[in-house]
Amino acid sequence: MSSIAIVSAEEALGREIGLAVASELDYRLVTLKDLLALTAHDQGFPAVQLEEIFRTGGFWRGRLTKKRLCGLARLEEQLCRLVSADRLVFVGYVGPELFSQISHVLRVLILGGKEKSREGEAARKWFRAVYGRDLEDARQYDLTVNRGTIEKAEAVRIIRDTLRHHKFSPMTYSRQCLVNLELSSRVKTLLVDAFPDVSVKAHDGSVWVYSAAFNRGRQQSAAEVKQKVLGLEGVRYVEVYGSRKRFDEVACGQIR
Amino acid sequence: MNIGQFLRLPATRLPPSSLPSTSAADPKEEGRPAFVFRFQIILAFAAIFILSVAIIAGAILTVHKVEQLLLASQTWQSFLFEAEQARRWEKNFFLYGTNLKDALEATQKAKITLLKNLASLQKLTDPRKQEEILLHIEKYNQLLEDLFSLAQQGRVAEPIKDEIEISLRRYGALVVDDAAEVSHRQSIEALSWLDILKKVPLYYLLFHFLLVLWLTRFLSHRFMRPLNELVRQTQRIARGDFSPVHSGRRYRDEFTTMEEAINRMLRELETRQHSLIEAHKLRAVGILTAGVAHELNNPLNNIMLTAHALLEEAGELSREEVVEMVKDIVAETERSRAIVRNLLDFTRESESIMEPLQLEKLVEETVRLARNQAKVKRALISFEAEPNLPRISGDRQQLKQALLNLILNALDAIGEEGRIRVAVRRGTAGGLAVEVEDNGCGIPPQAMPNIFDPFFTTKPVGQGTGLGLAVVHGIVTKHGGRIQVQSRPGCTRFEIFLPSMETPL
Amino acid sequence: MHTVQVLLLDDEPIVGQRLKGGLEKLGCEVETFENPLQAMARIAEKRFDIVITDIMMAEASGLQVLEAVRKTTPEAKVIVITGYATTALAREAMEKGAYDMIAKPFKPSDLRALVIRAMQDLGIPAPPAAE
Repeated sequence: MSSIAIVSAEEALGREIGLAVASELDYRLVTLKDLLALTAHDQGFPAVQLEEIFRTGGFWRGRLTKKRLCGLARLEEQLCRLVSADRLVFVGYVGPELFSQISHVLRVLILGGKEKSREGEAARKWFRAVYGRDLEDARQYDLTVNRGTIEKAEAVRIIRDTLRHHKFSPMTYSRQCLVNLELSSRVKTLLVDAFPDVSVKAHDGSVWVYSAAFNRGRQQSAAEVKQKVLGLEGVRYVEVYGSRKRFDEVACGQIR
Repeated sequence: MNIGQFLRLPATRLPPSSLPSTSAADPKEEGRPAFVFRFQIILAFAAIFILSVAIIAGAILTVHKVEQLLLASQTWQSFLFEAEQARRWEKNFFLYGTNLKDALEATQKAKITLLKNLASLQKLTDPRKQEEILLHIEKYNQLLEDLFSLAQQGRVAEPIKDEIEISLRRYGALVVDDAAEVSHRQSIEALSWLDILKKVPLYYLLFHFLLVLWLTRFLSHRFMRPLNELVRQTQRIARGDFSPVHSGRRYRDEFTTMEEAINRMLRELETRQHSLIEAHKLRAVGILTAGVAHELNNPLNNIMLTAHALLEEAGELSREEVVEMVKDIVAETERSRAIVRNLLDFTRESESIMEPLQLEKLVEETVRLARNQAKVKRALISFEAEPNLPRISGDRQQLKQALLNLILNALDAIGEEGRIRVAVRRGTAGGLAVEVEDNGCGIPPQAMPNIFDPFFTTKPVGQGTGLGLAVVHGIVTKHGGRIQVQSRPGCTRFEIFLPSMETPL
Repeated sequence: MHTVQVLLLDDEPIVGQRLKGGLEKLGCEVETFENPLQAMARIAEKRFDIVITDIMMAEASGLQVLEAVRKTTPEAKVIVITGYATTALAREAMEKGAYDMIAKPFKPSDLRALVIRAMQDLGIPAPPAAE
C-alpha cells in the first residue's frame, strides 16, 4: 500500500492533518518525535544524540557535523523500514531525499497558519542548511494544502482522493526502489560512524560505497569495508570508491 | 634615470629584474635595438631647443656685431670730425695765417682716436684701407709739422709752402674721403645686419612652426600607429583568436613591453580556455553518462534473460540452442562494449592536436553519442551529409565537444518528441558548414547578443554553467572558423563554418 | 477454460525469444512483437488479457501502446518494462493505467511472478506448475 509523508514547518498543523488522515485511512501515524523514539529503541542509539541533530546552533558554514550525519543515517534507515511496512503516515521533515525516490509515497506540504513560531523558523533554517532547499518549496511535493484557505476536513478529503490515483500505488519498480533504499540505508548506518561523508547506492543486492576516505587508493581500509558490508543481510556484491561528489555536481544532478 | 635606459643597443640588455618575467620572450624581439619612445620625444624637444638656442645665439652674435659696427662707425666719425677740424684750421692758416697749432692738435687727436681703437677697428675695416688712412694722416701730420717749423723759422713766403699746401690739401682730402667712406660703409653694413635681424624672427617663427608641426605629426604617427595596430589586434583577440601579437617594428620601445605583456596575457588566456574546455567536457560527460547508463540496460537485460534461461532450461535445451543462447550473450556484451567505448573515446584526455579529419564522420559519431541522451527525451536526431566533402584540419576531441554541446543544448530546448536536424554540407564561401537545427522554444531576442558570452545562461540557477556556447565559440575560432545562429520560436539553427584543407578527398 | 492471452512487445528481439517459453509454461498464449505499430494493429484486432510492453521504441512509445490498450480493452493488465526507469515515468505509466512497471534489467522470474499476480487479479488461477 501507499504511504504518505506530510511536511509542515509548523508542527501542530502537520500533526493535526496527519492524525486525521491516519484515522480515516486506518494507517499508522508516526511523528518526528515518534521516529526518534523508534530509532532509539530499535537501533539502540541514544535518543539524546538524535535530538541534538535538530539544534540549529553550531553550524559551521552550514556543513553537517559528524553527529548529525550519524543521526540522520539512522533516522533514514528507520524510515525505510517504516515505509516498507506500508500504510504509513509520517509527519516530519526528515527524509525528503528518500521519499522522492519512492513513487508510492505521496508527499504533502501543509502551509498556512497565521503565526510563524520560533520552532517553525528553526525548522525552516535547519531544513535549508541540511537539504539545501526551502522547506516550503512546493516543487518537491506532490500536493500542497494551504490550511489558511482550506478546512481540515477538506484537506483530509483531498489527500485521500489524491492517494486513490493509480499513480501513487505501489508497483514492482517502486517496491524495488524501496528495497534498494532500505539496503543502502542499512549499509550507510553501518559505515557512517567511521566514514561520516559516506554515500551508498544499492541495486538488487549490489552495493556501491563512496567516501573521500578512499581517495588515493587506500586499499586496506577499502578491503575491510568490503568485508564488513558483505556481512550484512541482503548484500551480494560490494564496490568501494573514493569521493563521488564531482560527477554528481558535474552532471548537474542528472544522474539518478 | 640614465640614457642607457632609453637607448638599448643590442649588445647591452636591460637586467631582467626591470622587466616583468619574460620567460618565453620572443627571441626575435630581443635582438632588435631599442629606440624607446620616451627617448624619441626627448630627441624631438632637444632638436627644437637646440634650434632655438642656435637661432638666439645667432641673434645675439648679430646684435653684438652691429654694436661693434656702430662703435666703429662712431670712432671713424670722431676721427673724421677731428680730421675736418684740422683741415679747417689748416684752411684758416692758409687764409689768415693762424690756428696752425690748432690744426696740429686736431690732427693729433684724430691720430690718437684711430690708434686707440686700432685693434677693434681692424676687425671690421678693410686693413689696407685702414693702413692707407693711417699713412695719409701720418703724412698729413708730418706736413703740418713741416709747415709749423717753417712758420717758426719765418719762411712762410717761400715756394715750399705752396708745395706743402698742395700736399696738405691732397692728403687732407684723401683722409677725410676715405674715413667718410669707411664710416659710411660700416653704417651701411650695420644697417644691413639690422635688416637681417629684423627678418630672422619671422623666418624663425615660420620655420619653428613648420618644424613643430612636422614633429608633432611624426611623433604622433609613430605613437598612434603602433597603438592603433594593438587596438586592431585586441579586436581579433576579443573574437577568440589567441595567437601572439607581432608588430615587426625595427626598434624596441614601450610598445614592445606592452606587446610582451599582451602576449603573456594571451598565453594565460589560452591556458585558461583550455581548462575551461576540459571542465566543460567533464560536464558533458556527466550528462552523457546518464543516457549511456540507461542505454546499457537493454543489453544487460538481454544477457540477464538469456543467462537465466540457460540456468532454468539447461536440461531441456538442445546443444544448438545452448550455443545459440551463449552466442547471444557474447553479442550483447559486444554491444555494451560499443556503447561504452563511444563515451570513453570522448572522455579520453588528449593533447590538442590538429590533424586532417573527415568532418562528416566526426559529426556522425557525435550524433551517435548523443542519441542515447536523445532517447531519454524521446527526441529524434537526424543526420545527413553531402557526399565527397573535403577534409578539414582540426582537433577531433574539441570539435566533437563543440558539436555535442550544440546538440545537448538543442535537446534542452526542445520539448517532448522534438526534432533535431544535423547536417554537414559545403559552405557557400568554400569550406564546410555544419548545421544543428532544432524545433524548440527558440532563443529570446534580448539574449541573442550575449549567448556566446562566458557565464551567460538563461537557465535557472543550478542548471547549466553558462559556459557551453562560449566554449563552442572558442573552439570554432581556434579552428579558424565562425559560428552563427538564427532563432525564432519553433526553429533555432546554429551554423558552424570551418575552412577546409585545399585538397579534397 | 480461458487461456490467458499475452502480448509481448519489445524492440529487443531477445526479450521476446527468452520470455515466450517461460510464459507459455504458465499456460499462456504468447504473441511477440518487435514493432509497436504492428502490435497496436494486432491489439485492435484481438482482446489480450495481459500486455507486456517496452517504453523506448523507435516507431512509437510504449505509453502510446498503453493508451491504445486502455481504450480497446480497459480490463487488460498492462505491464510496462523499461531500461529508462525513473519515478516520474513510473507515475506517468501508472496514471495512464498501467498495471505495474518493472525496470530492466530484471530476472525472468520477477516478470513471471508479476504475470502470475496479474492472472490472479484477472480471476484466473495460476497453474500449479508455476513457482
